[in-house]
Amino acid sequence: MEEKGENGGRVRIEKGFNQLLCRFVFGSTTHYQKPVNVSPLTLACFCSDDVLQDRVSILPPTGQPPPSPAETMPLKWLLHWQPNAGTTVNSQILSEVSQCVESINGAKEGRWKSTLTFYRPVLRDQTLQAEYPRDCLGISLQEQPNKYYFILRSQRIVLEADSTIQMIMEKLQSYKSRVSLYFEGFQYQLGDFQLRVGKVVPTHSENLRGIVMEVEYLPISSLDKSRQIMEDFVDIWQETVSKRSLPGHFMHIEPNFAEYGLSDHYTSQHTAVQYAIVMAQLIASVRN
Amino acid sequence: MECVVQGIIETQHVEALEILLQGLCGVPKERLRIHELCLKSGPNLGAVASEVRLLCDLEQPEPTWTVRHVGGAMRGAGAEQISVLVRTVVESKASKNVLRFFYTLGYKLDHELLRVGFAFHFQRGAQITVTVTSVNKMLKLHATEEAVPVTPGIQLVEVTAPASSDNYTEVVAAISSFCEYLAPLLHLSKPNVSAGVVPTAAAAAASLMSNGGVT
Repeated sequence: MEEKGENGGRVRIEKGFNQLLCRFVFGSTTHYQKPVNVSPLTLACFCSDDVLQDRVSILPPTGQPPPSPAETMPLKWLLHWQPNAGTTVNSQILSEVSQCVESINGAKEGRWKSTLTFYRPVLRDQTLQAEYPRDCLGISLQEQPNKYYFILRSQRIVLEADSTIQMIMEKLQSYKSRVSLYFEGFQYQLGDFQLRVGKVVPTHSENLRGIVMEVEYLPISSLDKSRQIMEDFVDIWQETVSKRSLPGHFMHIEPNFAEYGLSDHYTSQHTAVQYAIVMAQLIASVRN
Repeated sequence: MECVVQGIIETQHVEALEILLQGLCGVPKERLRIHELCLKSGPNLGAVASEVRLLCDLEQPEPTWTVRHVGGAMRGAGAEQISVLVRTVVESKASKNVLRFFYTLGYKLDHELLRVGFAFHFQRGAQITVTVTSVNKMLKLHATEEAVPVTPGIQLVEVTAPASSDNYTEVVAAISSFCEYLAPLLHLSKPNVSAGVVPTAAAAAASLMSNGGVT
């Protein structure tokens, strides 16, 4: 059977593939439901059988060349660790999660770090606090070093600006930064996926407040087109992690991006919104 | 930081000024159509009042937004002696929902203007920009198509250059030197220190128009 990938690449599939591999890559057991751009490494990443790679032939791409990197941005899902009731997150869980990634042949690359800051209004009359945004978050993302994002979650506003906006806010003195958190850890390459596992810590402390994981799928920018393959990956990931019998599990909450004025085409603004949602979840977990 | 001087010129002499600037610059002018919204903090927000400007560039196919904060001018005996204003300025490009963002933070629209004109950019000891614009006010909220001049028959000329604490003296000197080219047509000074129109402007303009330009 031969299928055509999104960028025109074709992959010939033979019957008798490992069941797990097919489900992860193709969304069904034996063939694509949605065409995807697949590398040999992706096909082989869950399979320990070296012979498998010889059973797949990757044909050269045909038709239109893929869109330029400037036009597309890989989409990502941001997962967060949800501890079981009565338990808290700890560094042992972080270590186990990292080992999970490596156990499925995730190749460790460099470090990554994003920063989230809570802003609060400076008010002359504190009794009027309800008239101002309760949660104003500022986010600096690893993937966009020259940009800064503000999210007003209650009003469903995400603002993208140059990083100099921070200096402007500092000069205005109407909102002040209170608490900042780092999301930091290591990055892994896993075929067409890029994974970032990170701890959530205050900037001046090592107290672990949470664990997050970015799952980035490099070939596709469409949220809708990628949903099946992302769900399949997360299912396999959850299965892998569950074998470690850790006191919790990863969760993914998909924001209603349309409420923020964002489209199906993924951007860093989508990432910023996901971080704001995850932050709210982490706060709720601590309170509970 | 930026260094800035301003002046005014009668609209009838703008064409002559454009000829002069074109001759000095050598590259075509950049058209300007900027909707400027000046926002001020509400009465309860901040220990002191604050002001921020949002600039929407309407000349682009897709309007682009810039947030601009103008800080205090340099003070002291040294600052008094120089004829150019040196002040802090910070700008940031922003997504198109920036007005809604600042409204939600608690800022209010104080006034809005539409600046229409052109700009020339020079490299003469500093990165100098000369803008010539008519300043227009809107009779209805955000109605840029129905804007009318604030001062009919008069346009604003601004000469600006970015600077830092290390090089502002050189930038000031570069601007002062550059302004001499424009002296026959207009007098440039610190903002809020207006010298009015120049008496020689009419004659200088006539000369420029009859010569068809200066090289």
